Amino acid sequence: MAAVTLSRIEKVYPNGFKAVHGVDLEVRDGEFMVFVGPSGCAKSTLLRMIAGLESITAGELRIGDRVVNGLPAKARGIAMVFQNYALYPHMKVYDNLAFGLKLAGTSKPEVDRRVRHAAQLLEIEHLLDRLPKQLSGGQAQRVAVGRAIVKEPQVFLFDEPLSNLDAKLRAAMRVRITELHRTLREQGRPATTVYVTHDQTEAMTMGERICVLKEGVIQQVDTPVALYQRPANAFVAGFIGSPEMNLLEAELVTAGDGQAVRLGGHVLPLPPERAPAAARAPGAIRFGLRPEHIGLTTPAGSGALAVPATLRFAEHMGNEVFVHADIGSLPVTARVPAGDAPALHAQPRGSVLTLHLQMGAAHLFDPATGASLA
Amino acid sequence: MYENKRLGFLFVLPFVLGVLLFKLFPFVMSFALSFSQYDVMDPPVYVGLANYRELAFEDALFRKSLGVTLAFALIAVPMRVGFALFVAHVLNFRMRGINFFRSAFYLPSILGGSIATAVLWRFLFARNGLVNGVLGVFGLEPIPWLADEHYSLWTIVLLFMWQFGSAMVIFLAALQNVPQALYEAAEIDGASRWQQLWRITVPLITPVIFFNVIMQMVHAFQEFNAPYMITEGGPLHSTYVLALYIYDQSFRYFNFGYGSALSWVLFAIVAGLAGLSFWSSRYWVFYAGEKETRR
Amino acid sequence: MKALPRYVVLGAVSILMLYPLAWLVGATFKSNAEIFTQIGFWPSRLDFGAYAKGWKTSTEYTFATYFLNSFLITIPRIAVTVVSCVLVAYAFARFEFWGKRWLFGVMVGTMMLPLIVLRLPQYLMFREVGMLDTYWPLILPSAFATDTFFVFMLVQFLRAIPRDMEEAAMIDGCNAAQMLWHIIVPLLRPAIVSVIVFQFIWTMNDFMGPLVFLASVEKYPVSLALKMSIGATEEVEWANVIAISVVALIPSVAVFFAAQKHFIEGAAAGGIKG
Repeated sequence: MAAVTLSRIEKVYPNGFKAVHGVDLEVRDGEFMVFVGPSGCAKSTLLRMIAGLESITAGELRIGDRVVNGLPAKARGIAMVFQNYALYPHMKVYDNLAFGLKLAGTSKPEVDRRVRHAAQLLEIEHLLDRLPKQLSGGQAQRVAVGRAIVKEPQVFLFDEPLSNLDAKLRAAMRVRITELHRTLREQGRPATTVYVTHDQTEAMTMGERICVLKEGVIQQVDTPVALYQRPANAFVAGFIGSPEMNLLEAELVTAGDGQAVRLGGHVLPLPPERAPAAARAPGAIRFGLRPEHIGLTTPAGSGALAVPATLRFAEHMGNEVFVHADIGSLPVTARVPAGDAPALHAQPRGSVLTLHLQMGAAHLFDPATGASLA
Repeated sequence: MYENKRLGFLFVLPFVLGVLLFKLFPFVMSFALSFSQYDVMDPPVYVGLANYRELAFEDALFRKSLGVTLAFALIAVPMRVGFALFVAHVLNFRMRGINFFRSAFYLPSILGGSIATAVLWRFLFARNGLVNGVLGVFGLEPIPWLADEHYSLWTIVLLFMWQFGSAMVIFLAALQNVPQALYEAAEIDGASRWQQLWRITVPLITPVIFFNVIMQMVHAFQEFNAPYMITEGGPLHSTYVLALYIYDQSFRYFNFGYGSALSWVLFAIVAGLAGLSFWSSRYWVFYAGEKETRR
Repeated sequence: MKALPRYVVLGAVSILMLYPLAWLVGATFKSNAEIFTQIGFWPSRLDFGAYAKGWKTSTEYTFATYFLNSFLITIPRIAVTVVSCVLVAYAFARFEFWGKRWLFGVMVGTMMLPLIVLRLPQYLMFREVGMLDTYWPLILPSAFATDTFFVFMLVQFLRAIPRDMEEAAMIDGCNAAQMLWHIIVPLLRPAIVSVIVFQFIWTMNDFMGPLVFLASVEKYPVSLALKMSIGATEEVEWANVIAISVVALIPSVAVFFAAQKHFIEGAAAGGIKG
């Protein structure tokens, strides 16, 4: 097992396009690290650079203590699970799993031991004699994971492995992969893992730490909870959490001996702990508040402020309701328990209602750079 | 591994050698020889443009041969491509037995180039052969296919058409690639079958039509086996295509210099026609994936 | 267009296509007189005499020799074609190397060179090295992937295959040769079958090549032997000649039907030579 260290890694394509801009990152030994971001953010490119499938234009890549920039994929001690499984169609499952080991000259009994052990871990023992085309999507994906496990690599790499599965199967596989990681750690064989996905749910539930990427630049690396509660910039704040955080154009103003936020024509005093960390003159800012912190009632002791708003429409999800309304001309989304909003069905568009904003959970961002002002 | 240029070159090396040895070098040699007189016994003698002058101004047989070749290509290719497209269109239908028909039509095209088929063809069109026999059933006079210079070329043309299967298979694949949804949208818009054919199908397969026309043209100009075996270039040189003339000059009369000049004329024609087609293609070939950038 | 007219048209075309073949097979069983008077293809009696006489030919060799010669040319040629074309197609489809674009253009361009233009100089070249009247001029060029049509077809086929499996194999530890053998060749199997089938049929039917390069009758393949049996005169025992022509076509037809599925799909994918 080994740590993966990226120092000032860059990727420039022959046509001049710079995909990765100076990435510095350390994946700790045995850690489950998730790369997440919208398409085009270069998360797959980074993964493939770690794997050795893409060349590194500048910077240094270490796996363990070794600098591996110039090493071919097979010499780096990595194993990869592909989005499309990439199983060898003409070989049985057993041979798919054994292929890499046989090429390395591993003895037959050892090959057999490892293949059967991996098959047992993934519950695919009964599939060993089948061909890939006879497998379902979930089974094929497990075989792909098995192929990585038998190699006992230093680093596991996953390239959006669940994208091709339907929603239910995806949820089941998520759990299975996470449990596998924990199991290997308990068995004393912690598996350093880099997992790429565009789905923030997968990232939040699976990752021990998450690296959020945008256009080849790291936005923030932290635990899921930290990313959720203390986003470093507006992009991360909007990317993590569903439904998205409300990000509104607002103005920072002085009010009494503290500061307040003016939005939609209303002045809302800021609790001192949410005021900008560095002294900041009044002016334009971006105001962020998660839908779950906007309600139709005020929870006791939350210090929520009531603001009038006009209803656009409500989405009823069963146990909660997403309320879409306008404060002044600013659109906001609130997430309220179904019990608080029984009558919203009947209310027509444009009816007035009162939203309660928990200012204690407010986030402020610089309007130009998007950086958090906390 | 795939960025390793040395490795890539190693893999392609056989081809590089092959092209140099067996294509480019002969090509250049042919060009050089065309300016000489060479009969293999004695070394070649440089004669400048004499060969070309001869074939341009003095050789009536060349003109005849050229005429025959052009006539053949200009008749046979459109007929073959058109027929192939027609049959492919008829066949493009969810029906049972499509594989049978596909094979049945494809078979002649792979057999057609063989000498055996040429033998059989010669026999079919003999004065009392099958074709005249069938004509007789309909009360028509037998036609002296192989003996009369006005009909002989048609036997070659018909053999060429008999081999339409290869072009048909390509058209069929192209037709099956046209998304069904387009036809459905057109039908909702009120287009008749005929309109659908001309407004949707044909425009979308123009790249394939283009490809087939080019390939068939190249084959038509190279036609050798059939005229050689069936009519031996006659009667009265009415089927004496250029390939035959080149062969005779080179391997029967051992005028390698003149033969080379002739073969270069043939090459120039084929290249010219191909070039013309490519140039004109931007006016009528429509590639579905491209955006119109210049017109 | 409704179904019935379609079937009618297709049926008519099928008859036009296949009747001559059926009739000619039937003709081998008829006497000369019967051939020329009957258009129905079913013979009045099954007389295999034509086959026996045709087989013996009027030369000192029977068609056994000629068929053997054909196979002596065809089988080695297929072997070297497959090997060289797969290697070269692999290079074009996957690798980067110097002059790749240019070389690919050359490949497409030479596909259009009329064969007769090359035959003449090739004849002289082979004459210089004393290889005339052997099978070398017919086999050697194919060993260098000069059947560019096949290279083109294999490249198109390979381009359509995603690289995932090769990347997985690279991580598993394959070098180029192992990749080729374990991964690429199995993936290319249908296309390789097409190459084998086409090369078999075209080589068995090749006439101009042997005509130019071979001189001794004992080395003649079937295509040249057929030409010999016609001669220049019209006075021919047609039944014999047709019989032997039919027999000459049997290997090609057999191979065609045996590999039918791969064959036609490969042809459509590559764009086929008539």
